[in-house]
Amino acid sequence: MTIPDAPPDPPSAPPPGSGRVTRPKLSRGGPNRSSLPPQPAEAYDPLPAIDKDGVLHTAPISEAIAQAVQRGYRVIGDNIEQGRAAAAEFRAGQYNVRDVPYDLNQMTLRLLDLTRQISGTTCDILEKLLRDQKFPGAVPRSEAAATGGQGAAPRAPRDFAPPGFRAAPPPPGPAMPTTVPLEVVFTGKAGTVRAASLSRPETPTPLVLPALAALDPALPPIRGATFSASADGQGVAVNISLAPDQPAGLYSGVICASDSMIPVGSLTVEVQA
Amino acid sequence: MTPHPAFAEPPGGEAADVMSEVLAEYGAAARVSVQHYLKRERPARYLDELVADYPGRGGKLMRPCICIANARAFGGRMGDAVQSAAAVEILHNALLIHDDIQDGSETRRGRPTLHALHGVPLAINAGDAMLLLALRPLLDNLRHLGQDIALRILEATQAMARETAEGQALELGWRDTNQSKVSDEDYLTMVLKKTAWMGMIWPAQIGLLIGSRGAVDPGRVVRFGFFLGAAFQIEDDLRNLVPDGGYGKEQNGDLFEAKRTLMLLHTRRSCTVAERRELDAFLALNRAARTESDVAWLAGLMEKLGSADYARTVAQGLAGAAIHEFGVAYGHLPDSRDKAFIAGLVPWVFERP
Repeated sequence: MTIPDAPPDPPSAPPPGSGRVTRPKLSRGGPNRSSLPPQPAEAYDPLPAIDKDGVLHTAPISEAIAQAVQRGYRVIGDNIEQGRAAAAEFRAGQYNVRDVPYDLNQMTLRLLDLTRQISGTTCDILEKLLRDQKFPGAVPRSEAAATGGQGAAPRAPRDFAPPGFRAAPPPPGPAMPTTVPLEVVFTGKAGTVRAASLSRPETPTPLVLPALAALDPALPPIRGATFSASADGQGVAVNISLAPDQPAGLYSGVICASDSMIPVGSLTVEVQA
Repeated sequence: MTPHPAFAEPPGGEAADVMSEVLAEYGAAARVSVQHYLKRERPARYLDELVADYPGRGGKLMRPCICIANARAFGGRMGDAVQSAAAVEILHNALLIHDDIQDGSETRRGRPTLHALHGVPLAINAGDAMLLLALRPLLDNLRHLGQDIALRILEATQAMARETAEGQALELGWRDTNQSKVSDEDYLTMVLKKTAWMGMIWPAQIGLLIGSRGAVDPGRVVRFGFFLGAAFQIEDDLRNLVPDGGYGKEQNGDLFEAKRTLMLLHTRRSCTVAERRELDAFLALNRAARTESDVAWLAGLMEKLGSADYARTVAQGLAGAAIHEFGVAYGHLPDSRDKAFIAGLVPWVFERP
């Protein structure tokens, strides 16, 4: 088998003494669209070179650059300081949602839970907002669940979490109750409750109790009942004002959702003689 | 010499791919969200068409991309940040409308400015509407991110709005009162407030708050954002002096406006007494009275005195400081495409098309 001779090398002028052909170094590797002259790759290397003896070598810094950077640090330093002072000024004495007292928050959570019981969709967003708040010295959520809001779930602390930390999702809360505690508040003449029930409406709606009628149609009905949150924040209170001349007897009525007049509860009271 | 991980390859290689990839991906997501917030079933006459104009003209959407990249670099998801990114872009475009009126600019992104097309009153009104429309996605954060983070984003937005207004006031006040005693430090203060806060610091802070779920102090990125923004603005000013500077404004527009750029400040302190007299006379004219030959004379003087070279040197120094501050603000984060993108912004301000 005959091996053909390798083609001769193209004529070139190798550098003296090297015996090798070298290509000229390109001044740039891509289109130059900026106003800058082409920059070598080393221009972007932010780390100074440290030689094998641990000696730090930095490229010479022009006075213009040194002054520019010095001015820059002075400007940003002043700005940061002014920003801190302004922030302190704005926060001092001003209402800040992060400073809401813990007890007010607890009350609000109870009211939200109450509203939540009346309607599954009511205030879901607002509830999440309040649960996401941080309170200095706040009682941990597990204690809060024991003392106040139903359905409260423990949350992992966030304040000093490392970057990238993501809190575990809270465990699912208890199932929504279908009944709502109903408290009856009498003013005026004395009365007692014989039977009371209230179911959770499907959609957020004010409640109405048009009238409490007696079994004896000759007796005047009791009207003007109003609804509010119960004193313990756990249910609904129906406020009934009994006129001094309201005849004694049993009176019954239906509690309705005001927008649809669909019955959601009932109430039977006895007016004392 | 060990290269910084963010600059493992020189520009033109993988680093450039990261920039274009991230700008394309995050820009597309932000654009969809912007369109969602600006869309109206029944557009209002003389308003919604104007509101949609600037966002519809394209642009690199650098600021929303900074927001999303910071959110992801600090551990968050794009979905959590894209609404805020839309707010950034809407607010940026609102300020552009007002900026163009204040500067008397005639073109924006290759087309007539909004006030050139529709008149100043309607353009101001459209800008006002967009400023308020930008609040909508930030309010939606209440539902998606929780009250604490949403409020902190709003606080950062309020701080940025104040800084931006102060910066714009400085620039306009110098021009309108023909202020000649403006130092380089004054210029950097103006650039910090007018450009860096809105363009770099604020989007990064929003992203950081979202990604870290409020765990990281947004002050962490202020220095990096400032030096990056300053380099960006000086480069913008330099490009205004060359034909087809690539960023949508007419060549030498800044000279016509007698904008106090680093180059103008250098020219004024470096020229002869006679030249300064002539320069001051030029600065004392109002814009309409300045002619093409006046501007050509000033451009020639700048070139003779090396003012553009001086500004380039300053920009490079500030870019170096930005690289240093990147290490301080982001160095502890794990390597990622988003971290590389943020780092890549420094050379990108010079290399961008």
